[in-house]
Amino acid sequence: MDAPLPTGPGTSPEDALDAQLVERVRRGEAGAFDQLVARHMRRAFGVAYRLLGQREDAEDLVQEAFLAVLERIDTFQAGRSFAPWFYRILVNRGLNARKARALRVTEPIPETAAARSTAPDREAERSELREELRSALEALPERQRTIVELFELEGFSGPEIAGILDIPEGTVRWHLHEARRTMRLALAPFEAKEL
Amino acid sequence: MEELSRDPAADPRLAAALRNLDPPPAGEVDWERLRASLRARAELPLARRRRTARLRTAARWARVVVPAAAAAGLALAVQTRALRPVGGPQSSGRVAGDIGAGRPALVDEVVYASYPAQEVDRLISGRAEADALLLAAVGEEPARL
Repeated sequence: MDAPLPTGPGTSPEDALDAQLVERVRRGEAGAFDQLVARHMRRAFGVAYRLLGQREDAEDLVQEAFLAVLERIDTFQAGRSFAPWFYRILVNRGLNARKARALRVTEPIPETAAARSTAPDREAERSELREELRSALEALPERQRTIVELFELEGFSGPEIAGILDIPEGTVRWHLHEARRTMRLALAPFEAKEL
Repeated sequence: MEELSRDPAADPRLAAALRNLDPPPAGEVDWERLRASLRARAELPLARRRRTARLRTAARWARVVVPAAAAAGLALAVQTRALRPVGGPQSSGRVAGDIGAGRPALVDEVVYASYPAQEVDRLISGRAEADALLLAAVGEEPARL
């Protein structure tokens, strides 16, 4: 028999379905786990890819995060949303993997200034913009970068990001504000060019 | 300055620029393979969970059933003992054993025993020793009466 749906105020149908699946996973139902995976797999991959930048690494991270869910599912508090809890596991593991990789690999520095002065055509300018943005994004403090990626690219709201990163919503907004300011500065030279 | 008390409005230009940086290769991902791989890797932990769930269910039942069974057994034992006929006056050894336990069989022993009238008078009047009646009942020396 299925567990009763959470009925608290603000409980969305999505959260309620997740809660039912989690309860069944707790009892070891393989079908429920498979459904939970199917529901969150694509978005999880998107977040993982943003964090790690490699398809294979992102797939590994998604698998690790789901298996970690199985290990820790008894610590998940019934009545709370599954998604922020799950993405917190994913993002924390992704950030750790990114740190570990940063220690091993020195990424090439983009040739921004030289490219800007010599790029003659539109495609070159686009390429230049991408490099400028990439450089600005990578220069952001790690938390700001994660927040701007989750907000701008993966479509998480401020409260959701606060839940994922376990920080106050106001802190999320402040980081987002700062990150956007930095990114807009990087975009400013290209503003008039309608790229 | 952007309002910090609520989520900022979407910035489509910035979002598009960021999206073009490294678009996730979602089309290259074999979702079914990823899902199947997860199913396979989850088999063992899920089997452990099923076993734990079964044990928990059994323990929950045991918490209810065992005390109930114990109570029923006790009640049955008490009932059986209550229905068993008490011993007759013929067994002095049995009565001796019952004295210490304060069993009601002793009264029957005394009632059914035959003692000389004088001794009975002394017993009834209280001139005998306190335990003389008991000693007489279990066949100890009544001469001191």
